[in-house]
Amino acid sequence: MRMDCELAGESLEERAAGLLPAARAAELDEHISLCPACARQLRWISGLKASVRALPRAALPAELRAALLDAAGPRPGPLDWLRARRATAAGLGFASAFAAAGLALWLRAPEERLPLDEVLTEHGRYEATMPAADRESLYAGLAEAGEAR
Amino acid sequence: MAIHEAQRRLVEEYSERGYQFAFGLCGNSEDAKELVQEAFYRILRKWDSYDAGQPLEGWFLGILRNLYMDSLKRYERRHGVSLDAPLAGRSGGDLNLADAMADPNEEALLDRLCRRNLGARVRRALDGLSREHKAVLTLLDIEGLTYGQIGQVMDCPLNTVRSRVNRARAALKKVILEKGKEAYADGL
Repeated sequence: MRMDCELAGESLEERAAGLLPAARAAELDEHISLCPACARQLRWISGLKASVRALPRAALPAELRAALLDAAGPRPGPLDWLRARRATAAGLGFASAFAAAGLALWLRAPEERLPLDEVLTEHGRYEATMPAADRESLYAGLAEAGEAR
Repeated sequence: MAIHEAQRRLVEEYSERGYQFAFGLCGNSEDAKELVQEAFYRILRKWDSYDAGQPLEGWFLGILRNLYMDSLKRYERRHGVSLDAPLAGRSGGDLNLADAMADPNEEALLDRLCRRNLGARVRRALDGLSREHKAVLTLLDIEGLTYGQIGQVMDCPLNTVRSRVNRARAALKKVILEKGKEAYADGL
């Protein structure tokens, strides 16, 4: 069957894009050679395709790139390895000191340990019974110490 | 630190391509920037779920495409239109390119077009197209995608891609012809 203009028109885009199967392309080419209207239409499509393809491509805006890199996290620098090592060493040092202090407290003899509740109860009892003059003198001293600091 | 390095590499290697892809889909810089930013943020949030056996680019472009499709559906809902609606004033959809044959200026325009002498005019005409027309032409002509790939990106069957391409091309030609006639009428 000979190709008519309607059928040819549906295939021109794919012909211009080189996406038409060879047999169909040959059939279309035969029609185009006899039909100036379809030939002109193919020229238009090819010209438009080439012009769109030749347009400069959109460039990534610099501020968008910077924002994305910020979101991705810190850039690894040449001294990061050393900093990481130092940070690890410092962390280990602090952890060791806390562990040693905790162990020393725990290893104290049971009779030397002072439960917190007992200490607070004893303090409250002393404050309630201490002479008024001593209390004023104590608070004045604490206030002076606070101002000095 | 290793995660940050990989994420920075993702940005460095794919942000340009992603932006061009998004620009092709959206047709303008503001929407493209928003789309790329959201896609990257989503990837950074879902980093743990990334399957290292899959190509990173495919994962990224897939997220970009899904975001685009969501925005397209929102657009359709908001404006109450389907992107596959026929061109305004046309009952049959495609423009008949022979309609313009009688115009003596058409040949001159076509010659200039074939000599790639109409870059600025083509850019303006492309920018003036509807969102989906510009997207389909950009994906086909600039990104070099096949009809099948465009169908995957735009989530539509091959025949729909074919008709969208035909309509978009006809719309582009119509705008260029109209602008060309105005320019000739103005003696430019």
